[in-house]
Amino acid sequence: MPEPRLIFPGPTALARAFRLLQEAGYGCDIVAAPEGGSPCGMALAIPARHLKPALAVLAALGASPGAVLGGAQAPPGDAEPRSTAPQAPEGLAGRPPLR
Amino acid sequence: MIYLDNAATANPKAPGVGEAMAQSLGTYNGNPGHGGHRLAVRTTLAVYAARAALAHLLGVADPSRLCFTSGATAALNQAIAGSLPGPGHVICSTWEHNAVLRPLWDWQRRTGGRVTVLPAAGEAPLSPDDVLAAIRPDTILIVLTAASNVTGAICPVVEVGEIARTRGIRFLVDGAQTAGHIPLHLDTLPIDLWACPGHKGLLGPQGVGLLYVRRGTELQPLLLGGAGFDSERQEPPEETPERFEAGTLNTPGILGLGAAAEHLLTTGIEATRAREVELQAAIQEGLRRIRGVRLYTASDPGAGVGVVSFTIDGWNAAAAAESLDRDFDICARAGLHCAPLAHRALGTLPDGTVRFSAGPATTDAEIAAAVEAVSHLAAHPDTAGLRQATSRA
Repeated sequence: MPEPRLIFPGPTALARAFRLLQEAGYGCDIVAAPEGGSPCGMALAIPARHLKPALAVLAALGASPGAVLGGAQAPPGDAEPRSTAPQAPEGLAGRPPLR
Repeated sequence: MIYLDNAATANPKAPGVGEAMAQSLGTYNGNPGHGGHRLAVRTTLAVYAARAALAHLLGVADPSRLCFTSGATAALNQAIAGSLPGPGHVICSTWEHNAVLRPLWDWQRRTGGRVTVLPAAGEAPLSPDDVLAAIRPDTILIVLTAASNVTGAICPVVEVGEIARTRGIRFLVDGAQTAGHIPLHLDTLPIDLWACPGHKGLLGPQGVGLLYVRRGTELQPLLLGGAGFDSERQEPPEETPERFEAGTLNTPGILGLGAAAEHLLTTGIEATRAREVELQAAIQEGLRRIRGVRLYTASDPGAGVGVVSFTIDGWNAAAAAESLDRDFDICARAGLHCAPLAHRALGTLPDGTVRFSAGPATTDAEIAAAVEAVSHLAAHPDTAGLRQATSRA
């Protein structure tokens, strides 16, 4: 079964989500989007078990995808991220906090 | 060479800027956001990393609110034209740069709109009470420079922004002289739109700037073209930043600016600011001691950014700057600094002033040498040059 694809309205939104998910410990890849499925020709592919918690992370940061392809067939999500490192603000893990 | 023209462009740039720009021509030489192959994706992520670093530096939670432009002028034109679809009333200050004034004069001519220019308020650059008094029922926009590029005086952005916010008037800030000089947290300031160049206080390369667009701010894009996606639509994308980034981005400039932001995040803008105030105090103290030199700057170094304007009795400003360059190897800027109303307010038309603007790399010895050079000029008036200037006038 193919991994779910997260579809974003533009490349910056996609890049932002990619960084946020990586920093939250969820592995994902940028892949060519299914034909006609993404306005920017790219999508985020994420393991099905991470889909639900990853969507929660993105929603909490105002970075939700415009659509999820293949998510309906995904098995139940793994609630824990792969990393338990502290979360940095807005895609900048390891940096000092905002001043 | 002693470089004292950092208000025009920073020299030197931050460490790492040149290397990042060179990388953009190899490792990151795809077209960001325009394509799904690995090089385009890699470049898209590199551009995003630069945007995220700048957002962190400027206190912006969502990097998508920062749009890359070709500079502060482009950002200000976008903000002004995109906010003023028809006539109405706009308020600005006497300290504005032509990057603000000329778009406003053009709008006024084309639409019959009206611009009110706020005067200086004695020693202060302007009074918030004057802003209140100038507001009309049809006031659409208030534009204010965060600091004068002629005197360095810091304007009361927060106070004016609060006035604008409580009355539902859009507030645009020209951050050309404060970005990288003063710690900022744009998300918490009462600002709707904020523009800055990348090549001044941010220590990045020329040809790249930023426009911050607060979420919910309706803005018509000025530049229309390919976004790399949604190509069948006749309208530009709704998404920020792509709505305001038509065409291919300046990837070398953006990656260079990203490297500069990383540098500033490491060194800290507070430290830069503390050094700037020290240098400002040293320049002012030195110049004030020289008979015949008149300063046009905030008397308290902490109330200004690192800009000191001055005239020398017996010298035309341009001739003085020429002599500083030729005879003393000092780079300084003379003239009106693209801010004609500021010079009208200061009484320094038509020749303007000489401007010293130190930077993070400026040393105490360089300031001492510059003061000594001005002292030499003050003691030796340029009578021939003055006669020429008078006959030209």
